[in-house]
Amino acid sequence: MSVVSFSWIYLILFCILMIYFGYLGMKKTHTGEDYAVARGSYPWWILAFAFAATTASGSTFMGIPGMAYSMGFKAMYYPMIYPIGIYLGSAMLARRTKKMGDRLGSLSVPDYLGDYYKSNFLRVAAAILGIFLIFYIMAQIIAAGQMFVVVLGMPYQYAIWFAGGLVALYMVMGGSHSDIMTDAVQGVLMLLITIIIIFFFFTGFGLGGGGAAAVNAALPEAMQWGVHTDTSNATFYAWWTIVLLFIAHIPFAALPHLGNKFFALRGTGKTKQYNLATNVIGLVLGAMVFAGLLGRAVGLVDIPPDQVVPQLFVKLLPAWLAGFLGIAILSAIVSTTDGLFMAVSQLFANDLYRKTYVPLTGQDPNSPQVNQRALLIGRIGIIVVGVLAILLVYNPPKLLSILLWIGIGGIISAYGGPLFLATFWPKSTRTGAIAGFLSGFGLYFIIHLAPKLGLYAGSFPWNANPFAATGVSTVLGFVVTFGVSLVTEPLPKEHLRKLWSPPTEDEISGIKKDDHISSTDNIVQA
Amino acid sequence: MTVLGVVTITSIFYLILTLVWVYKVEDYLEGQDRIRHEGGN
Repeated sequence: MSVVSFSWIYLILFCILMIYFGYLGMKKTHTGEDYAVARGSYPWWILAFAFAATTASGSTFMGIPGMAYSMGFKAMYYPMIYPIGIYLGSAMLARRTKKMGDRLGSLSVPDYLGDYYKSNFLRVAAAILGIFLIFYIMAQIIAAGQMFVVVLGMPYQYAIWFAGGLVALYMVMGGSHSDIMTDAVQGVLMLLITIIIIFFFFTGFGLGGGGAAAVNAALPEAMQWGVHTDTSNATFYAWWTIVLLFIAHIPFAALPHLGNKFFALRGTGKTKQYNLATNVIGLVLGAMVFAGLLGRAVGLVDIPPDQVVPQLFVKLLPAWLAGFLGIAILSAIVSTTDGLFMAVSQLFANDLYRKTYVPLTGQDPNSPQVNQRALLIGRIGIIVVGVLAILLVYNPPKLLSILLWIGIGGIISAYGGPLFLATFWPKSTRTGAIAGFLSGFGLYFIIHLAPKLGLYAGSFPWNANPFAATGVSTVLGFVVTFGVSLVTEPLPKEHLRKLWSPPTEDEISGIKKDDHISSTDNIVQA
Repeated sequence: MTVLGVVTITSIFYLILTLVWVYKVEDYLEGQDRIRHEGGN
């Protein structure tokens, strides 16, 4: 049988498995909170795989190996630096954000910011900014479509409906439960493929042995491991742009589809194991970069860089194993897409409807009727977001990469300062957080987004390098949050006492999961 | 040193840093929270 035949068989099995997890998730989902965050429901090792799988997108299996295929060894700095930034930030935030978010009953990162700072303005502003994650979803659906075209020979227009439809189906069924269970399985598949690549690289597979040195020797001189920099590349052109690349990724866990995973962890006492496991898995997944180097070394030439991994597998492996790769790439894409579906739908169902609109009408946001309505809005929201994203990528917009970074860079720049100071500094204030939020996003808009949208030329490297722009904007947001907090009214003492008191035995073990402060206490107009 | 060497050493150093963070620094910070809380502040 051919690679395509095996790929179809694996794909069908994969779809059945994902829909089965959707069914399991549906059986576990009884309330809006179950659907939105699956609070306190999963052990550390499942969430470690789920978080790492959500973090690694199609870029891990296509874009980054493609970068190494084009640039050589120096491209390894990117998949080393960005996971360290992301997982360092995650390790810093996980334990305290989980404790405080659980106590507040927060159902998303924007909700947590609004609850912590007792500010509807922050909740609504963060939610509106979060809606731009739909461009991130579009990018993932395009990647899925392209993967199906290359691996299965499926027409692009069918492929995007297939990929988007699969994710929407199991997410509508089981929400966060489906998201986490499917992501964990997808994370295991991705890790297996990465381990195969690591083995190939360090044995010089396909080159007659000789290990990594043989890979290096087979590359053109400018791509070999003795060459560290590339002055023509906006990302790597100076040491400080590399530092900003690192800083830009530290608050990555603040993105709504990642930060909500903390709330699903069973007990704050397991954040140690969770953090260590996500760090190791995340760093290992970065080793997919080896595939790009190996692809170049074994003589793959004149191929689109993003296709180096599929082409490498077809060249080196028997059909039954090469066909498995398509599932690993699909796993990387859908594990990010499903979390994004969830996050965007909850911005509507919880942050804008339940926590903002409902109190304005004088109703209780915690009433059973409102909760059921929020659950329904969440489910409908997933279908709407999915269909909208698919329709928008029928003809991928030229500005997609820019719009994508409104979601990522803009959110990180805005959320970063207020979120980190909420975690580590009880003196941060509502006014400080709002000022930090606005200044972080404002600077990002001025130096990167506006030039990218063609409003003016801007200055290099800020106009060309979203990571540097995000890094410096995040630092500004942090400094402004801190500075303004020093001179503005602190949060109420009782509110802080409830949030900052050490975890109870129940919170540490995760046995009791519904003992949080009534959400109505935290809905206050800024 | 080669790019591979730099990346390997940095990654190992980072994992050690993570161990220190989750087993030492976070416990210390939580201890400080406990002292502050029991002190009535």
